[in-house]
Amino acid sequence: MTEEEFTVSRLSALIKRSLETNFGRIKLTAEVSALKIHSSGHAYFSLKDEGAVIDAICWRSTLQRLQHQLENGLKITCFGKVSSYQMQSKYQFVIEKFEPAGIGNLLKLLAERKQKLAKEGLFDPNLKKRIPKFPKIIGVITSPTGAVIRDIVHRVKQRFPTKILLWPVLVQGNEAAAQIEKALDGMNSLPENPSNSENSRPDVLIVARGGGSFEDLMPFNEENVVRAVFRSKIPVISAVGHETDTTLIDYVSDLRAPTPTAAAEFATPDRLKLLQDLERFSFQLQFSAYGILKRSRLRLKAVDSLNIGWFLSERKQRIDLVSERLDKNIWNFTTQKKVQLAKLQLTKPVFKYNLNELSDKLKFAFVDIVKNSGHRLNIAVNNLESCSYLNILRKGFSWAETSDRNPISSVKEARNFTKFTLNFSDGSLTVYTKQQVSLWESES
Amino acid sequence: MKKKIEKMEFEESISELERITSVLGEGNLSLKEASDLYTKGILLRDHCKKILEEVELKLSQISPNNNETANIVVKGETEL
Repeated sequence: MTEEEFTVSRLSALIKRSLETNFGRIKLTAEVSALKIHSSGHAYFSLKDEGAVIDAICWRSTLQRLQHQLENGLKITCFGKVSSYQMQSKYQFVIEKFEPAGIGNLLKLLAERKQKLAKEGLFDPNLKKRIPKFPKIIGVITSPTGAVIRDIVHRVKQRFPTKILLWPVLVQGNEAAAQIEKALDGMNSLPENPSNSENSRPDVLIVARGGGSFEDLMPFNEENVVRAVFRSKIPVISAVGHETDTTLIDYVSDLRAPTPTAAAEFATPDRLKLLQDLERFSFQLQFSAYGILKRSRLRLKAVDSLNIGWFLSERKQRIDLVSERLDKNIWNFTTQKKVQLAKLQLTKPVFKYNLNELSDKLKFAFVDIVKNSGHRLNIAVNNLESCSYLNILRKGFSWAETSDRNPISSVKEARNFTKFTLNFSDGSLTVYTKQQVSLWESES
Repeated sequence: MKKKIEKMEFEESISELERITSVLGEGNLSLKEASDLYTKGILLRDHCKKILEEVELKLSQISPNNNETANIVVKGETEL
């Protein structure tokens, strides 16, 4: 036994060095318990298994770097080193890195399963069914208790109150997957148009579960569930866990909703919006109909003013023209009569309404006419007389004619006859020619 | 026409209403056609409105038989 004297500090330091050098970096699998996150951000907790417990610490900087969160009861596989807190000489495990225990294997398994199912075409985007806009019945496959069904019912009621058919299932644990598969097939086997309409087949299915650990969500990664969704004739909306969780059912479903509430929204139309649409349609209908009416009325008006109006005005114009002419004619006629009257009045002023005067006037006029006629007759007779050949003969002319009373108007003609008649104003005389000579010849 | 419309589903009715609205909006129709379409549109609108006002939420729950037979019983219906 050495006499060397140690201080507590030195011993503590030696223990610390000894722990750190002897163990180095080790891999440890344990369950988290008594977790306490200090205000500094460092996490203090215990790591335990069935037989022992060791204090553990995870610095804030490490925690921030890691993907997973520590929680009580979580089984983790961690890397770190054993150290001692010198001031208290308490040894502890300092964690540098951890992940949920066994998750690596599970993830690998899931990745393989996903690849296999994808290869089979289960996730083919072209095979996705259309979610009906106006489902009459929404089938819900989830736990009958808890927030999920409540959230769905609440949202459906808000948006478009629709009949909901709930198929209760366990959503975690060993039996969950089998129950979910049975529910999917069961919903599909419901009659489409049953005699009692209560239990007819839904138009859309929602498979939902609230948030949970990776293990909790495992039933929704099971192959039998994925295949049941794939063979469902009814479109399926999946809403499993939180938005960040993705399970295999999300790949095979026809639509993935981030939350159960969102699933309810995807499954229902928005009644308020529909009512607004209706109002809009109604307004448009009335506006369009009014427009058409207005246009028709305008057209009618146009026809009225163009055709009928034009037709009328043309006739009006003709009437105007005729009446104008009529006016003018009447005016002409009356002025003419007035002038005549004035003339009459000038020749002999008469009292307008004296019948005797009038008859006198008539008499005079008649006498005038008779006188005039006599005068005109004289002139005509004179003219006629002056035109008579006798008058000409009286002026010293005579005319020659053959014995058969054809006129002879030239010497040339006269040569042909030995005898012709010469007519004078007081009688006629037969002339015999001794020789046939022309007047011109005898003169020359 | 009214009876025919009353038998129509909501989706069908509102699509038809949508179509009528757009046809009427184009406007190149005879007055007769326009008034027929308008009348039909109004009937469709009322029909849709009626459906929207009459929808109600019913919740039924299926209780599968324990002995795995196919018959399914509605456990209860809740008016919410």
